[in-house]
Amino acid sequence: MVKKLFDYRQLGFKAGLEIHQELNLNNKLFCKCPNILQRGEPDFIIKRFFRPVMGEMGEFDKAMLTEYEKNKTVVYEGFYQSTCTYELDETPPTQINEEAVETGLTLTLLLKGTPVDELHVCRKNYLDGSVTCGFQRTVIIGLNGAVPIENKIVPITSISIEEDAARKISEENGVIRYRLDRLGIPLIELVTAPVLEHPEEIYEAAYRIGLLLRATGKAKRGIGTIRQDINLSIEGGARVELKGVQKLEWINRLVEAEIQRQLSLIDIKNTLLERKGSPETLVFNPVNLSKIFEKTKCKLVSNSLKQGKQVLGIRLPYFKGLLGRKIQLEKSFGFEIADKVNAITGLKGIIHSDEQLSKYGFEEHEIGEVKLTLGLNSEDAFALVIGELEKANKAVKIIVERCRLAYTGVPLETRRVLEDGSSRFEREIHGGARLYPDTDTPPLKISVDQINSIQRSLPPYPWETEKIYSEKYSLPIKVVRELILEDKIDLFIEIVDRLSIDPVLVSKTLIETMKALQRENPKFKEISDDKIFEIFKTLKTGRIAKEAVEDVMRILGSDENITLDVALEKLGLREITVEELDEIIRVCVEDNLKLIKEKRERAFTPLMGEVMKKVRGRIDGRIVSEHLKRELNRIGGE
Amino acid sequence: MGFKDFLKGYRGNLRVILESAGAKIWSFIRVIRDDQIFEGVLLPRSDLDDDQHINLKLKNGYNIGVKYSPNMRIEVLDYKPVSYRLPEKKLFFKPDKPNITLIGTGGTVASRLDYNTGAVIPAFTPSELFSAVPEIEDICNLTPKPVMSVLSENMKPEDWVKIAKEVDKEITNGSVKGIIIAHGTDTMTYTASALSFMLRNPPLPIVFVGSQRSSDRPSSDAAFNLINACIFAAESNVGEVVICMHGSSSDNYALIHRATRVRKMHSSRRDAFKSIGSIPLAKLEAGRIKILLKNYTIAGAKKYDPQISLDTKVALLYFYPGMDASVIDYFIDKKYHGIVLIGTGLGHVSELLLPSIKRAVDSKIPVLMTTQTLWGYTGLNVYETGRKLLAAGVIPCSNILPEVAYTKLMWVLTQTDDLKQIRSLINTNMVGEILDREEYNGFMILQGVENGVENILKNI
Repeated sequence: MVKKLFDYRQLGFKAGLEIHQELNLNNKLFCKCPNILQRGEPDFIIKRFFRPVMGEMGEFDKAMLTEYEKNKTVVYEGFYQSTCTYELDETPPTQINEEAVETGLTLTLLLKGTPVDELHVCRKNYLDGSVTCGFQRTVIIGLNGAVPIENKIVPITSISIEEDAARKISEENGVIRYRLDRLGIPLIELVTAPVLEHPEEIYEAAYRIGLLLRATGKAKRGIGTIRQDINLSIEGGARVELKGVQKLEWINRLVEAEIQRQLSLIDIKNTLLERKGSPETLVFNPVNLSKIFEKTKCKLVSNSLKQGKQVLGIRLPYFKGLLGRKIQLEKSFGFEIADKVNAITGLKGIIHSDEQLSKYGFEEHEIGEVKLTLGLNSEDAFALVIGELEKANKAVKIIVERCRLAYTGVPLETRRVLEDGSSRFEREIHGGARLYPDTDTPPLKISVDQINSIQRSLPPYPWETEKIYSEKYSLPIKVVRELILEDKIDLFIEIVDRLSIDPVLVSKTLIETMKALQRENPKFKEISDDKIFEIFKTLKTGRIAKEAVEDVMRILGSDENITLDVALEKLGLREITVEELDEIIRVCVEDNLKLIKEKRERAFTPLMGEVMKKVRGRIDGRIVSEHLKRELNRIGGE
Repeated sequence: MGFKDFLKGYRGNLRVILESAGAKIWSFIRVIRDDQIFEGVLLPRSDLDDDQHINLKLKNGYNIGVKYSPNMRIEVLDYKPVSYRLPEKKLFFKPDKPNITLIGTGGTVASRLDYNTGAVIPAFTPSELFSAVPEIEDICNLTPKPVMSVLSENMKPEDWVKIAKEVDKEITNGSVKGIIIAHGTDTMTYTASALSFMLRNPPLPIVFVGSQRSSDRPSSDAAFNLINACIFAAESNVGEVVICMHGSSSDNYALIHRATRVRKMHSSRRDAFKSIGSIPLAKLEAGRIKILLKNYTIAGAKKYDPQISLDTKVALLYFYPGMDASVIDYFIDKKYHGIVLIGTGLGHVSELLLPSIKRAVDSKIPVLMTTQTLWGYTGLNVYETGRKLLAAGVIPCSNILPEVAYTKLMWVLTQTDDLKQIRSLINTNMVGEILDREEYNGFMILQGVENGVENILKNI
């Protein structure tokens, strides 16, 4: 199905999954707020700063320090309805949501894992502001589960329940805005062992775990409610955590792009070693080059200098040509460094010697002077940063540190995935060290009775259901699976079972027609399940023909505010009133007076046919028959 | 952090099998139970929890409890005692910065976290403190002095006297510009108001500070409050005992409250401390002090008058419908020297208590009356019950807050035992504990509500 780019076995490819699924429970995990996401203007705003907490050696966790160095103000948007003082970190947690614990236990038993005897809630530190208290409350419910995929058993090392983080709304000028409605919504987290050796295995494992989550009946649906993180590495590379995979079909290209990145970084490392470079040659020694650009024609620089910003330069020994090297899709190594600088300092980026510098408006003598001032050798590169002195210094520090890391090849990083398959630096990989017990919650014992009672009512395994559906509706497994993946299976069953419409027509409409319409109109809006059900109901009553379904969907998808009635009207399928019907009947009867006189009661059938031709799908046939009979009686009486 | 008991919290059968396996707290152990295997670091268990579970920290950092079973086997794989290296940070005395003493009473202003065990270790040496809150260096030369290690709720009036003496020592030494007292928030207002009476007209700011979120969490308010307390102690010319805490739920400003008019009004919010019936003394935002109450005492303007002792035989009683008169009799029989009642509304208690109250007054025990409403004055002339209480000899406390009336009476009793003089001293405003007039907004102002009360009401 996909062109084979890499030999995964030869690469020593290893991957594991971390899956987060929001639960559809009434309340949040540790408070009684409703589990809803809100729109519109927030009711109130809270501002906070975070400080790193020292670890046992009196040192700060590196990943936490990176966050702290970003020196960001965090603004929280709260709603009275979905935020209480708990989410504001102003009230201790209440007892853990029992339904969430039960769901965790159900999943543990489905995965044939070991439920934990006594639950201990832990805190996991987060300094990016996404959790108001600076840590997420999380608790392991089960251990040592497993999920079977085609050719292996994938161990599930842990099953835990945790609080979802706040929703990030924006980040500008050092201010991050989060919305608090999502904070505290119960999530289930599953971690697999790193035994997946091919993207298809990752896909299969993620798919099966997703099915199991749905089988608990408590999984939330819709975009963003399930999130996959992929941990992967190749021989000679390093573990990289790809965060935020929202769709399974992304997996292939994400993995390929990351492998390309790791291989390119290993190449860069080898080139550096061939050039006999070493990390020690990279020295944090920023040089203020602002003077050189006093009369520059480069608008970017001259405007910045006017605002009191500075231009700092740094020599990067042995890096000539390496910054311009493409490492991931079309992105160069220089871009990756700039991206990291941006993520940490908020500066727009960097300028480096592998770029076409004339496009910035620099003149040759300026570049010459830069090279001279920095003391560049033939194999060296340089980078420039523009910003307020403190920020610019920090940026240079990041550049130097990142270039030093180039000698190890691939740095351990958590990267946020982008839709094109590439990824961007988010933070250093967190150590397992950032967990510690939550002192606000008591241990919770899980009784044998509770386990037994859950065991007795376990749902069937979904891959078995997949088979059952396939047989029941005479559809290929592939189609059933697609319905499941597109989150349309429940709707499908409802339409087919309740309206007894051909399963093939329904599955085609839900998948193929929907996809075609989305391709045709990139702005195509999701049509709600209720509306789709109504469309089929209309089809069932005969008001629209099979062929019109697509037209109706096209209109509904163009604007989510359009109702089905409006769409039908646009297609000339407006419902008619009884008065209009009576008028149509009257005209029809008048035109056929002769026939009525001849055939008497037997005239009803042909007349009914004629009226229905005009009103089919626009009014119930029974009403037509009733009114036509009444009109005929009236005429007969005269 | 070593424990005297190397199997802290483990009892009964579980302790026996842990002991026989040679396991100690912090041992890396393997627990085998039927076909299940758990590996992790053995953690101490709370004495309040049952004796049926082993606390384990798994390799992935999570903790779990493993249930005891008679056929359970335990193997010790490794043992790494946890040792703590303190962060060292060189301190430089900066002659141009004011000297401030930080008196520690038991709360942790700064602390470090041990991820392996989850233990919180208080930071209290100067170098530890500065590495946790480096901003302080730019404000003052801060010298921490741990005086006691008592949880706020276990604090006794004797401890207040001890703290007052330490503060007095610092004042008489004369080398400090201000004094900060780190204190648990639960009873902070008791200690602070007691110090207000014992150390009248201090020649420098005495600033109580605490935190509502412990300092082991990234969202802690401790550093913010401490930094602001340092600024106020180092830079203000206020000669009073005050409390410095968060002004709002946001990390935007701190408020300085007069110790005799403030109360903790929420069990957990950062902005729990509110000035009652009055506005706060000052606001600190972005390092700048803005004085809000113009009638404060200027440091050095009046003669410093330390009188450091308290009569601790005073009771504070909250009246409730159905209260038995024998409650009051108990304190008379126990030879208490004073009783502060917290009555309903304008300062009422049930008529049924009258004989006992009269008996107390006849035994030369002053009986003071404050109000449960906190806002507003006592008014014993308005209703019949009030007039009867006055006739029985009850001393109304104007609008002194109940806890403040309690600490004030303790102090007044060290000055005189004459009921007439006691009455007169109680009704003399000594350190801002009585407001002689209540402004309209004294009730309305809920400090910390950003958009004002009206906006909030509109949206409810």
